[in-house]
Amino acid sequence: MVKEIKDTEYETVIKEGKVVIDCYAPWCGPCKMISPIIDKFSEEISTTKFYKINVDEAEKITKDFNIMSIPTLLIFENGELKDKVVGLRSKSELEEIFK
Amino acid sequence: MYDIIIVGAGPAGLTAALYAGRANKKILVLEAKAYGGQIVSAHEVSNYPGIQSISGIDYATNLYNQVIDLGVEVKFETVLSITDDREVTTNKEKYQAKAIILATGAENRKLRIENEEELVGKGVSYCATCDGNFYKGKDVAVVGGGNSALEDALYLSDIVSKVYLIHRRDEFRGEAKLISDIKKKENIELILNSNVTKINGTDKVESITVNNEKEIKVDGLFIAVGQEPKNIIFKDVIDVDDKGYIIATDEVHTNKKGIYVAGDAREKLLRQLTTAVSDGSIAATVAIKEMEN
Repeated sequence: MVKEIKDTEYETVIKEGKVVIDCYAPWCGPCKMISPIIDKFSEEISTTKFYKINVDEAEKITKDFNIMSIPTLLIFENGELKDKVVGLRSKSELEEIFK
Repeated sequence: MYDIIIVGAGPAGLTAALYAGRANKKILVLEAKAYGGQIVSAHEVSNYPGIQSISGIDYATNLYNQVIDLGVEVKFETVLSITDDREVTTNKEKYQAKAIILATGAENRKLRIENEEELVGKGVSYCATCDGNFYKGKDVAVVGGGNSALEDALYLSDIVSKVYLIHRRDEFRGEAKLISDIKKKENIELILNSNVTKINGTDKVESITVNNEKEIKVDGLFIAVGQEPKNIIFKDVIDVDDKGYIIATDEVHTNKKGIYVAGDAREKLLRQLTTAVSDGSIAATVAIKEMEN
């Protein structure tokens, strides 16, 4: 399972290496579809760290990265935002992105 | 060799799988993205007979589990082509079936204007109930004239500061009750006889241009101009109408033997959950009957 983090923690976890944060909300259907896919990746890809954050309780990350639709996946490398993936994607589409 | 290959794991495709699975047929369901189809985005389904209220995701998950429990095989692969001989090619493999049921559904229609694609998730949205919360206290525009556009405008008017409702005609084709509710709302401004011609902004939506001249400052544009099918890959094999919907004169048969259609992908009067599952059950039943003859 992907570890859930709080709004106050995100800046610390992204500092080193490749990090993916799954921004979701409990009421969002497509988010529930993407979560199990991210869970799988977290088991398969050891070089990337995966986290999730509930945007309903995370005003800072929402504002900092202009999140206006969920699910949104934020992809960081050494603290820098590399990619922002908005909306439901298939496992193979995400495989291409995470490569 | 499969008895039936079903393309699409929305309500129509999964219902076809349920019926065919219960008839002990060897079935493969191919889905490009995730199960459930469009219903997954529905916050609440309250017009499905026998179920007072259920979220779209719960409905889809129940149906998916029902199908999986029957032992039906579901693979998440993208179908690239089909042939008259019912060979199906995906991004990973080739499969052969005695029958194919196309249940590829529909998706939100795009306006096809400048910046639309680039700004999806950055102010451009096709789902007010999904994304509305991110626009608290801001100004937004809704484009469209049917029930979904009216419902979106009403829903958003309780969250945002102001809603511009833009429609290309001088009157709405949605329900009378919705139209009168809209007119009572002080923070909804109607902009009629107008088209959104451009979306402005680089990293996010900053404004929209209407009728190539008037600029309106908004943070979000919610597009609710109906649905469109995703049948382009089949059009060399299967007859489609001018909008791309598969032609099925008697509800299930396409113009090719052994290839059937179910759900939103075909031309029909009403695209709802009830009609999708109806199509799925009919398509599976007819396909099995004709296979055995």
